[in-house]
Amino acid sequence: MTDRIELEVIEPGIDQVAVGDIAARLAPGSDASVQRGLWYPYFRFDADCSARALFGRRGMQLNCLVDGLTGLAATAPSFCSTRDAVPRADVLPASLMPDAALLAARRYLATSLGRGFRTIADFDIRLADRGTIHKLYWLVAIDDGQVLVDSLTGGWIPMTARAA
Amino acid sequence: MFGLPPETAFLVFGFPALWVIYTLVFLRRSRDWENEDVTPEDRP
Amino acid sequence: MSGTVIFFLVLYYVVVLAIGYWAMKKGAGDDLEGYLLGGRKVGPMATALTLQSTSMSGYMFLGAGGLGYMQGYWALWYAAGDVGGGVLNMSVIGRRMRKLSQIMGALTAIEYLEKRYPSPAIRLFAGTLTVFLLGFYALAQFIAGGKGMALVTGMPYPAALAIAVAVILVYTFMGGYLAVAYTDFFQSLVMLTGVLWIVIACLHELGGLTAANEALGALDPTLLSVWGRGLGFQGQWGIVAGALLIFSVGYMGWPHVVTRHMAMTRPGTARKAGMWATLWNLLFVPTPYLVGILAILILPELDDPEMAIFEVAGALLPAAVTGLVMAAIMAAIMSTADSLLLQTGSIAARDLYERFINPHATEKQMVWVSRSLVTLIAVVGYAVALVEPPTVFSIVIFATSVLGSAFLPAYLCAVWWKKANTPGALTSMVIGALVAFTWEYGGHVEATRIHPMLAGLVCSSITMFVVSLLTQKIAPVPPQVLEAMDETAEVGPIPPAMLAAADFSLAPTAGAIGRMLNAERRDD
Repeated sequence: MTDRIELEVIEPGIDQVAVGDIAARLAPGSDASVQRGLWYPYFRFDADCSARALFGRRGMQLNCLVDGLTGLAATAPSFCSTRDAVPRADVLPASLMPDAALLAARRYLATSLGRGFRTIADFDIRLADRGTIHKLYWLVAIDDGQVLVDSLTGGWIPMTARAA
Repeated sequence: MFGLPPETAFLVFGFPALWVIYTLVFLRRSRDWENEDVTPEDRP
Repeated sequence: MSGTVIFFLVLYYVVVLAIGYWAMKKGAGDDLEGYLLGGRKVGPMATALTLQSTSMSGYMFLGAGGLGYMQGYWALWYAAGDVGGGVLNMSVIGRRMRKLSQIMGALTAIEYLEKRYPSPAIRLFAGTLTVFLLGFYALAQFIAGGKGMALVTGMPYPAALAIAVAVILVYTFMGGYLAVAYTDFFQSLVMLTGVLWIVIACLHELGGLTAANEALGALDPTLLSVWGRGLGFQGQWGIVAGALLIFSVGYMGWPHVVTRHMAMTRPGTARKAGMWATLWNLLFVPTPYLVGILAILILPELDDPEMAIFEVAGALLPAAVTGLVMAAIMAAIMSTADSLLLQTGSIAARDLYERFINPHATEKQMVWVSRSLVTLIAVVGYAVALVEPPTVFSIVIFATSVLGSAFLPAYLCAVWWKKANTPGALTSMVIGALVAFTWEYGGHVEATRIHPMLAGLVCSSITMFVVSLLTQKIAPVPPQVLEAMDETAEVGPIPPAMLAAADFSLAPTAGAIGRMLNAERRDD
């Protein structure tokens, strides 16, 4: 019996069957097989940002995700999340400290707002910590190579030498 | 041409013409770059 | 300038503000959110159109016209290179730089250099040099704004300059967002229409291009030559080559321009943007030079040649059109200055202060650093522009020569040459900047008849190759950089068509997973 753990996860849009179809269509004639799914950790923050623009203060709410392994932050469109029991062996542990994640989120948002509004301003950024959330990635073997497929967007990238 | 000495006419019209040719060659040689314009929504 | 001109100038701003207000109410905020989500589509046409018009407006409307007025057709050497600058930039480094920056997780052009050539010294030198040169470049926009404002309003230059600098500062501190999302495109079209209108009016006034050239030839035949007034540049190929290179290949060495490659939403945008850049440049780039040349006949006694385009517009166009065109030009100058100051402030705060002085800096401190630096640039810029204003042309040529000389080999080799390493890049930047700087201010241009851009670029390129090759053993290019370059060059065990469509924003995730899996395998 597989050891499972319950986690907050981003609902995958692409399941194992669909990812197999994608691989078959991407590399017709190649030998493609789905090797495993991996649950990748992100720190999730609800960001309430406001800035004084030329026509008064404007506020906006954004999702900010911080990569639990690399520390890279990004804003994300709204997505559906749920609690799910997933195989423990497929869950990647976060190596980033929560404090560092908070700092990365704040810095990223401040920089992005400054660029978006084209101004040097002290933006009011309130971050609500929503804990960690995991997203599923599929590892697919194609001939001698490996491809990583995002279960939400269907985007892919070769693993090449990185995971050889 | 247009009352200009030949070398000046080349400077005014020839160089831009060379860039137009460069651009056309670039467009032709980079046709496969469109493959990269696949957004997540377009993906299979 | 007449009251009508001022009326239409004010009207232009009112309309632009109204568009901005309407856009804000109708969902400009959504657009900004889209931008923050990385989903904002900056299309190829807008990318190309705004690249030239909003990054060099002060130069195009004052420097280029002034050069044409002073040197005749010789000025077109600068335009000859500039017409191809956009497509060259997009075709040579555009797509590769976008991929490599995503694979390495770099957000700014300076951070990109440090990740490609890992060393804090790279970031320190590149950041400091860029802050200095972009600040200097902003000075050209202050002078252009001040001169334009003085002409339009009839105010004395010191007061007009003060207003121009103050407006630029407010624009920078309060948010020039209006000028970005909805008005850049509109503004660029008004500018293009404006300069074309001016040149058509000039040609109409002078009886066509052939008649104008004949009149110029009668006045001074050397104005029609490719060697400048009085054949002052005859046989000086070193100067000509520099003039050709500075706005063609030189673009690839400007951090504030190449940073746009990193923000392109689609790699293939570079392809169409290259095409639009050539189309736009064919119309826009040579025109200000030509207006300057034709102004010799229309206004032969100009005190300040750099005002040629403004003065010709005032002399030939209906007051209403002059007002609108000048308003668009002034707005573009403000927008360019704002953009330069923002980048300068951001590099000073993020790439220098936070990275080297105070790694735990709060956002408030960063904003303070940015604002202080921008204010300092404005104050120093105002003083310089007031006491002894250099020509816009000389400032832009100096700043772009040093930037291009210092950074071109580093940005170019970053994606094309796997042996380019940290010592090679660092020494190349230092030598390139030093040579271009001393060439300009050490009197070497007159002595050697070689343009500072050419001298700097040759020296920095040689330095990059020689030092990189000599130091391969002691400072090899790190394996992760080589891997990233391999992916950028599209080689690997994955079918090429599939690799070409890869989503490189997943690169950091793939890297982290790869490392985890390797560690798992070792543990097993």
